[in-house]
Amino acid sequence: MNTPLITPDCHEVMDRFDSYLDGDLEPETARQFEKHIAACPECAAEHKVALQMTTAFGELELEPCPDDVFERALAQAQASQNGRVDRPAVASSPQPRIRRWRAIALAATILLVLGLGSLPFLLNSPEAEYSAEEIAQARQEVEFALSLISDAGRDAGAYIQYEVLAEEVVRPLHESLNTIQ
Amino acid sequence: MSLDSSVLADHRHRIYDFAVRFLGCREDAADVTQEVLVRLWQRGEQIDPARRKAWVLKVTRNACLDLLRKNKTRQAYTPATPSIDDFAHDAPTPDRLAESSDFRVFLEHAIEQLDEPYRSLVVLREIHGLSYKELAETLDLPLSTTKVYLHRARKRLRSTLRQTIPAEELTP
Ligand SMILES: [Zn+2]
Repeated sequence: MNTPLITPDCHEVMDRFDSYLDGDLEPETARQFEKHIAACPECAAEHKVALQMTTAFGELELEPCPDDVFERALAQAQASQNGRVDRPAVASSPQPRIRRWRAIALAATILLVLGLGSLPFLLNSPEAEYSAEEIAQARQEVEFALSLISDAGRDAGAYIQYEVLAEEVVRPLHESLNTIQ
Repeated sequence: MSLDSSVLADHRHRIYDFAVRFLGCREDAADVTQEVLVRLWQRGEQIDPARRKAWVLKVTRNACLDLLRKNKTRQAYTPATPSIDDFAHDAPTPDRLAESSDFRVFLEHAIEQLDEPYRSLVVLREIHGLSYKELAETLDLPLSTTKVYLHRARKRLRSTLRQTIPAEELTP
């Protein structure tokens, strides 16, 4: 007679222990629940464990994070932040070289496509004698080419930053043009 | 912009405790804590402060899962089921307080033996005090499933405790 007798009522009671303990059962259901527990040793034992468990949960505490773990984490976090701030300066030496090369290649290609083969010669020989008409013509062509380069630079944004193009190509060309005027 | 370091301090025990309970290894828990605190520092400001607790615990749990996948730590860590004799030396005076603290030790071991996601649910609800909504958010579960799973987890705990603790050790 020591074998616990678990009835279908027991299963229902055990499934609803949390609702009972949380006070979520209807008053009538709760009353039947208590009546069953009072009469059933198996569910009474379950109830006892449930109550003790609720008490013990309230007593469990968080295991504290050791100070040295926290200090290391804080140092790493701050270092990672500094790393992010410094990154553009650190990366600026190799990356723009590629960008600059691409920008110049693009400019040269456009100039070639537009048949402005005389431009480098013109830029490299500021002291040469040209008529005002020739210079005006060259300037018009260069400015047209520069506007195309700017548009191309924007379209090729994934590869070439417009600012780099402006700094590395457009401005030097403008300066060259100004020196020959 | 990053968070104030006091926010990190507020969450550190939560992260570490969860990681220790999940991984069963303080060294691994320290690594996870460090990783999560750095992420909190970097991204925490983008998270609504009201949802930060759930976010932190979700990131912590995912970091633990990643570590387990890498290390298989959990396989190496198999918690021994305690018997009441294991505590006889620690608790020579069988007064009420000692009994209650023994129950806590049994409970901790019973929690360790739960499978996922039941263990996380119990730890987060009963020890970290998360609401059902926060639990659902942390574990990516529907609210109704969260409640059903939690009830199931508690039922399993009761069953384990009843099997491990002699009836006479239970307070009447
Ligand atoms: Zn019963």
